[in-house]
Amino acid sequence: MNRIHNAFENVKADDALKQNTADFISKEIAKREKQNFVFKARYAAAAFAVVLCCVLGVVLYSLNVTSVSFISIDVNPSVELSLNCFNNVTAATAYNDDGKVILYNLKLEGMSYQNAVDEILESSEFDSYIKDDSLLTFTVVSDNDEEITKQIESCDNYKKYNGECHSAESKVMDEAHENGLSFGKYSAYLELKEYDDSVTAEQCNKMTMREIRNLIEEHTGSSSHNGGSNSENKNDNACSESNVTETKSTCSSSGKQHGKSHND
Amino acid sequence: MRSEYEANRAIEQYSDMVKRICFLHLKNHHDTDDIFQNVFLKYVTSTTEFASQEHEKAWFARVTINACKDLLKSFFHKNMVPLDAVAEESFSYSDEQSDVLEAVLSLPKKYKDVVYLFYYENYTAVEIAKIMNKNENTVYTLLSRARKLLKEKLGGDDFEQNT
Repeated sequence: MNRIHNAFENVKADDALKQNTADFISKEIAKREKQNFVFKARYAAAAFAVVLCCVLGVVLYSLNVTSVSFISIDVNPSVELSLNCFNNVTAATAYNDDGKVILYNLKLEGMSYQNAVDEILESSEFDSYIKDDSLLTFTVVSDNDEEITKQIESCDNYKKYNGECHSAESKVMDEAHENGLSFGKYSAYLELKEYDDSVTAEQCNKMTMREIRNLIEEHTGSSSHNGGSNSENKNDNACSESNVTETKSTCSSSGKQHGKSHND
Repeated sequence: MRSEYEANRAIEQYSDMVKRICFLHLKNHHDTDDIFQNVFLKYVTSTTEFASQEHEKAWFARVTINACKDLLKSFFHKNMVPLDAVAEESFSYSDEQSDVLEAVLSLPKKYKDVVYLFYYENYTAVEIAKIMNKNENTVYTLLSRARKLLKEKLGGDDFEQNT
């Protein structure tokens, strides 16, 4: 032992100093744990918000890009519109060369289907395919087909061209695409096939909707579309203008049975 | 963050050493309280894993010395004189102890820690060099000069301890 050691031996922390320090540390620990908890809670909330935003973003994106409804527009040009759950166009696909001509200058993605239909029907390219006896057919595949049919029928251009509107089943659409046809034209092909087994999808693909309809009428003996659409158009107009509800339901229900009978 | 239990154990174990280092540098209770709080709070919040008790003790010595130096360097401390700045510590010393303490406290700042760590805590010069982050030879030099000064003031040969 040395003198310095002995001298420092009596220098000690008193109990009060120890207690004050212990109290201070105890309070600090409690304060920091509380802050830590608040920080963690905030961090967790922020992380949760970020995750939620990401999930919502992914859900919204997938809802936005997932097609749930489809509209086939056929004259000779055959065009299909794919719609998301918000009824906005996610894709516009041409199923023949004429369809490609129509879509060439149109940017339809993101539009509501009503606007997209108007854009197509108002385009000069589309107008050039419409003749006196042309048959404009809309075919809808959707869980919400009645509403979409109703909306299409209320379009001014639909009335102007005296269009027809039907519904179809998604199974028909899948088959149509396997055969390289729009499902509108394929539905007409299936109807014709009921009367004439020899007709092929490939043959129908080269025909206009009017030509397919005329062949069907040859078998059914119906003449409502004969020599153009004027007589039927008048009926359609009268129907849609005087009793819209009835027209819509007629179109829709006949569409449900599409492949067996058109809206004649 | 360490627990309250660990903090209390450390206070019980190291408060005397912390107090002695404070005693070397500070002249009032208020500053000593501050250093105590700072050092033990630093311990509680430190993530340092101590390999042994010796490692932990050396950590306390280093942190306390640095805390005292920081306090003395601070602008506030240099420019303010607390009311109890002249209050004397109420330890009971013999005349001999008092003389030795006075001699150690009168040493230039740079010698005090080295003398305390060497003579009281029985650290070797190598260990002191690590604690104080100084060159080993510098510690030898500081010890040698401090010893010479103490010998001049106190006389005797018992400062001649093998380093």
